[in-house]
Amino acid sequence: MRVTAGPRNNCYPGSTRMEVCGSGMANGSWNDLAWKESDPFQKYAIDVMVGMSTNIEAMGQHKENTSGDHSPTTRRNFAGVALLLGSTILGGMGVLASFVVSLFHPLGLRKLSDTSSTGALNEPFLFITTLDLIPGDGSAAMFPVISDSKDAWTRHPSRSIGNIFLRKSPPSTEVPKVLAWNARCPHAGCTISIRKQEKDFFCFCHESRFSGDGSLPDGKSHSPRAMDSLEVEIRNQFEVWVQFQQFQVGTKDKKPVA
Amino acid sequence: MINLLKELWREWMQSPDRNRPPDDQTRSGHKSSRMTGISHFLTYWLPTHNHWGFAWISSIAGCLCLLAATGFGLWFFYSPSATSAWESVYFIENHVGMGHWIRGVHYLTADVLILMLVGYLVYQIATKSYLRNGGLWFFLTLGLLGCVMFNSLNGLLLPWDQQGYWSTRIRMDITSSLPVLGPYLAKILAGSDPMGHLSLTRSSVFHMGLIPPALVAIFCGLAGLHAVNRSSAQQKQSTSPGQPVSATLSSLIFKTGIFWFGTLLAIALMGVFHMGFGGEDQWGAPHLKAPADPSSDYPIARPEWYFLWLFQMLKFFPGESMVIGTAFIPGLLTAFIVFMPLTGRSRWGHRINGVLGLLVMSVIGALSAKAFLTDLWDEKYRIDRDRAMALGKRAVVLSGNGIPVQGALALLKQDPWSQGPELFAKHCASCHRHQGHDGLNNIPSEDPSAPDLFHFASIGWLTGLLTPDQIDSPAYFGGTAFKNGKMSKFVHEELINLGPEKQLALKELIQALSAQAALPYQPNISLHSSDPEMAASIQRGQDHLVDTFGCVDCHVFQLPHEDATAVDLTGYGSRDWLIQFISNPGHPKFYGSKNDRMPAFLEEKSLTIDQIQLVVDWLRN
Repeated sequence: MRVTAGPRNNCYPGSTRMEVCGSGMANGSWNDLAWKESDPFQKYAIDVMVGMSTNIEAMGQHKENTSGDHSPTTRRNFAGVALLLGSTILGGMGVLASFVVSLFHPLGLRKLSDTSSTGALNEPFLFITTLDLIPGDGSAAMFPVISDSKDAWTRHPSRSIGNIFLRKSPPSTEVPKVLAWNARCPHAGCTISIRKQEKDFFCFCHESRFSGDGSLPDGKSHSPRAMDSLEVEIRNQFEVWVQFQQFQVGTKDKKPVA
Repeated sequence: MINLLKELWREWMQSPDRNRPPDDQTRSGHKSSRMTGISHFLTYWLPTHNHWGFAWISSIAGCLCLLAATGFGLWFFYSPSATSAWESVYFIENHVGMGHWIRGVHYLTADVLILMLVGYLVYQIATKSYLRNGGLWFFLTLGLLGCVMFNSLNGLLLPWDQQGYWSTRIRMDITSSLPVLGPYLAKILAGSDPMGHLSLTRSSVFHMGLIPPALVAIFCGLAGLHAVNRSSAQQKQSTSPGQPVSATLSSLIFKTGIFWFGTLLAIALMGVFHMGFGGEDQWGAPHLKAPADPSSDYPIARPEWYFLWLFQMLKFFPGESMVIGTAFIPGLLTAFIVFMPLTGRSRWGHRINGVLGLLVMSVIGALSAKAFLTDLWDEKYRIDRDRAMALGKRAVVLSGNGIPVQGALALLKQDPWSQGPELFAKHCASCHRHQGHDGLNNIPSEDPSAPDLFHFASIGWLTGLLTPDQIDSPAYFGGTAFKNGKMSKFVHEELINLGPEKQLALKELIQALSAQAALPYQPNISLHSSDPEMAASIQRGQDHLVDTFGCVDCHVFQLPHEDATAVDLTGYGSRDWLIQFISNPGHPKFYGSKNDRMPAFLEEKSLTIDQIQLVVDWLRN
């Protein structure tokens, strides 16, 4: 086997000057052919490739010839192509459909029927606490909302699914009215805190401020709307039940999340 | 065989086609050109001109490879579900060889890659190369940046710790407030509302399945463009053969070397930065916070650093104008960047791009710095952050004995050390204090109206109680109705100006009373002390309690006492005593009808027995 060694066209081992290397290509590449053809392995590889391309060309010719020719072979070919195309399209659609269905699953194509947007199972009103545990001085307090909940396939027995504020108003009446708000900030969804000193609500995320009655103190608060009030029911004279709901954040309108 | 390798090696080194564009080869058509493929492949990637752009792109490729390698490493152990994600990342960090290092490199490389892609975009604008290929090169880089950022956000949720959960949840809330498509987009990205298992399965699909191939595809696009540019450059060159291309391999290697070294250095420094400013105590990804708890509040929820400017900007748009900060400005900015290669074609357009770009960059920089420094200097933020960090570390410690099937959150919920302070702050700190604060290191604005319970019933605490000038201080009865009660009167009248003998007796009494509590941190002060001297001293103290000081006139101690008006001192401060006391302080055994304002936590169902036990165990330890 002949091996070209040593400097040739300045393109010797270790050469880094590309431009010099490349300039001689037109002459060099032809000369190399001779020994390459004689390499048995190389020859085999080339044969295989040539063979493949010949086959492909042959198939192409068949296709061209089909016009007007109704021999059994071409019909079989046509049927094969149709079958192949059809099943590819069908399969492709299946692939696409399964992807699309999975991707858009959260939009509610198939909803988990027994959970609400809060993850709570069972009824809309949930028992929160008893009347005497809400501060008597008219200040608000935070309470966890405990409910059975479900996360996809896991059932969580009586777990906290959120927080609410409860406040008696006005204080010292015989049957005090209870006000309830979701502790989730209607601005961007962080958790609101009670500021005892200022007697108001404050969200430390984006510094949204709310008055003690949950309303917006002035036009400068970051929140687009007042805190989300919740329906309260007093059952058996002292049990506080609240309809716990989540609302769309960042909008002026209070819109329950479906 | 060896011969064949030798042939191949020579073939590489001596390729006559080294600088030949691929198009020419196929056109010439002869079969031998296939043999030069390898050498061709090696040199194909090199640019025809000697410029830094190649160094950028090779370092970006290097980062992507690092991410892929470490990412696959992590993938071997990760398990996406709300009860196993945190747990598996905990396992990676603590039980997988080099796991902490692998996760650290993965995390920090993503950060550096984002910085680098931004840098590369700026470089393209500065060198005017963003106009190349009709802006396609620039768009592809931009696409790369978008994909990397999106994937980084997805990746942050995967550990399912408080930080990842809350920053994602707030981001989803903001997304859902975007006009028109916002709610749908948020749902598709979040997987379920409220977030849970399905958010994690979804984020892993994005993070490991969909985005990585997209990154590869974009990179292939860049490679294709490179081929086009290369062949056109060479065609130009071949028309004037006398002119050599200036690129030399050594200078290219030098430039890429500098870059690659710089990249690795940046990854290392990024970890150091987290240690300096993020409060981390070791190099790597930020420490896992506690497992995600949807019912908790996480007041230090912040977006990732590259979105910190958006977070800060939201504070400037009150009320309904919020949409300006969430949609309008980011949209405008994206449009500006996307149209840059089009507007930059004219000379003035290019200049405006440069000036505006600089302006935008400095505004973003200033906003980010503002947000960062505000937090850095905010005392409350620091307390909350330290607490979050401590909880995270606690969760790791608790997990050391194995995590129950319900997940690590359940473990944390049963842990007095982490739950005690929370419960104390929520239910006790409106009146009581713990070492002057509310259990969580916040100092309430109002004065305490009940005793400080730090080391309650310990020798130190009791000594203070039985000292005339302390019993009426806010740390003891100062804020309570007992300030004017019999106990205070007794301390003021009987325990003043004691002789040395009585002082010793009082000391022994205190010891004996504290022994009733059997506090874990006072192991020697025990009723069952093995030290005979201590046992005798405690016995004497009990006698003093009954006889010398006559406590049993009002209190019950060991023997039933029908006329008792004050709390039972049998087992005073012990676990059972405290649990019963908190359950109902108005019980005749305790304050009875004299109870000041303390609620009966168990009777009124404001705390469960488990919660009371958590508070008690925390107080006693």
